[in-house]
Amino acid sequence: MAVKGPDPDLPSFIRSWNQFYGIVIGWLVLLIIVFWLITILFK
Amino acid sequence: MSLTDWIVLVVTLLAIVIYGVWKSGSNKNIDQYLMGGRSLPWYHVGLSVMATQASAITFLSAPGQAYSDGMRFVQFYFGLPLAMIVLCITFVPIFHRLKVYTAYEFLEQRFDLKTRALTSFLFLIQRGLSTGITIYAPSIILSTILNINTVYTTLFIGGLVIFYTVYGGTKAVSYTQLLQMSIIFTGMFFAGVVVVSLLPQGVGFTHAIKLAGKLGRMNVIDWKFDPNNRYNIWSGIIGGFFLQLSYFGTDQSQVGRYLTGSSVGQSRLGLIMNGLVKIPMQFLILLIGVLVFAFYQFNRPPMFFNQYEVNQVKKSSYSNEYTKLDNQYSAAFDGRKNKADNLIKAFNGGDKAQISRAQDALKIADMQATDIRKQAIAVMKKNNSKANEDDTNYVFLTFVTQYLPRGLIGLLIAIIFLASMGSTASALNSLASTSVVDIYKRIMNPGASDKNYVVASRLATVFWGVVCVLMALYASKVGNLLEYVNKLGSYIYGTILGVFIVAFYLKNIKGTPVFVAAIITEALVCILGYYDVVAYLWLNAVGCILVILIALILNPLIERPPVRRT
Repeated sequence: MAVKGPDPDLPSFIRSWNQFYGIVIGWLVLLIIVFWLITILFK
Repeated sequence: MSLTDWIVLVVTLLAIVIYGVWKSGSNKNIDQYLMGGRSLPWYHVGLSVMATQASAITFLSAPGQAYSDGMRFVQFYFGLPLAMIVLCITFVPIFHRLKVYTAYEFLEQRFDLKTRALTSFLFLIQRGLSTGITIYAPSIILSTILNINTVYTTLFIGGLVIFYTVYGGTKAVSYTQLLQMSIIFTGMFFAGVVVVSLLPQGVGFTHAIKLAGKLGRMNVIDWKFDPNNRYNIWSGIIGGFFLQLSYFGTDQSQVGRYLTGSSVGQSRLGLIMNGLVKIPMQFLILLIGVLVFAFYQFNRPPMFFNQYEVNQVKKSSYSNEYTKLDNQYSAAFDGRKNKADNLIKAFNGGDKAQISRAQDALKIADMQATDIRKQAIAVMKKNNSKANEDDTNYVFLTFVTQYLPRGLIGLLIAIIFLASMGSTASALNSLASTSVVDIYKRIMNPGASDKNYVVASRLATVFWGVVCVLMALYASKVGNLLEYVNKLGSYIYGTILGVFIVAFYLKNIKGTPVFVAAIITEALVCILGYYDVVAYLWLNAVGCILVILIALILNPLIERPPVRRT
């Protein structure tokens, strides 16, 4: 039985699209945290 | 503008157009002309999607908005990465698998021809009219700054875009956008560096940001939920998500961009790139506005940035009154500058109590200056009740033309032209695709040769280009056309999004119920809009929900299962 490998379009360090979407959400959360800290720091 | 700037401006624009035309190659069939042969890599897709969304107003308005209102506008884009994920999961694989040219083509496969024709027709009206404004809005600002008649700036932008879009099709649009975005990033980076270098001695980047923060300009995140406040984290994530989903998922000017990807994966990567880069990019553009704000604490800003309106009042009988206020503003500025210097000294001293006192004193001085500015705007309105009291779009370009070194001014003006050209080119390309694929090829002349469709696509691009330029020229004659066009978008977007949501998520609903639901919704939305029952921005959500609800009600009534005869 043929085993389906990762999508060749994905960057080598990412295993699946779902993982990539998780990174996008993580990036958004990180940006919000950084922006919040900027808001507090420069108030 | 100096001769050097004019040379930089003209050479940049021509180089980009020549590069786009050269790279586009020959377009032998409609797939190459409208889809670029579906061969583009992810970074092309990503930059093209970004260039389509970033109109000239993005680069003119955002720094000005940060100048007057701070950084909070960035929250508007928080829903975008989430919308990109939904597009990657749902829209992209379906559009790629069906090998559609337009988003509306999918609706025929899911529903029927009449639903496809209706949505494509609604898109043509909305995009056709709004593209005129995309050309007109920067034209009027550039004409004020460069002191050239609006007709010439409109014809120049429109003519150049029509030329390379007609000649090279989608590939020309995409290749020019690749270079446009590279120049835009470079130019904005240098603009930021120059603003910091222009700050007075002893005032560095951190001082400038701290100073702007003390005057409320570093308000990036607002956690408070308030439906009347347009920019807070909740409206950004929830409202922004639906807005971006409807724009990227159902507007052919965007769908046509990511369908040029060579595979589902390349299209997805392009959209994810947009999701990752868009927010930091907007943050940095706004930060330039904040630095300009800090700069103007130490250098006298114009009391009102739109010189056209200032000239109007100076020519009127209110001239003396305005000049008197201008002198008062100069005195208020000197006082404010003094307080800003004190705050910088307090920062260096590090004494919190002193910083707090200096901040309070600066706030009072800033309020005095703002108050005089408000009086000046009131004088302008007394002279002409239709005078535009919002000078946000003029802040950044005024700074650029007055303080940036030679050569960089030309580059920054080129950026404004390029941004306008990028989004206009995508719009013309999408209007041509929809006219030819959904109307001409499907209804008027099916079964013709590929050559025939390529010629039709070129003619359709010229036709829409001319319509949009005429719209842009006519816009100067009609005062509030911009608002009418925005309203029209809200009348239409919601209905189209509703049809797509039914198509993707409510599998049992058939074509006729959703078609009737779209017609009824459009009529209801027009009535609601005409009688101002809700603010027009809400019509998007209302239209979308109405289509879904009415289709759900009509489906069992219209699509009755056939009665079995025994």
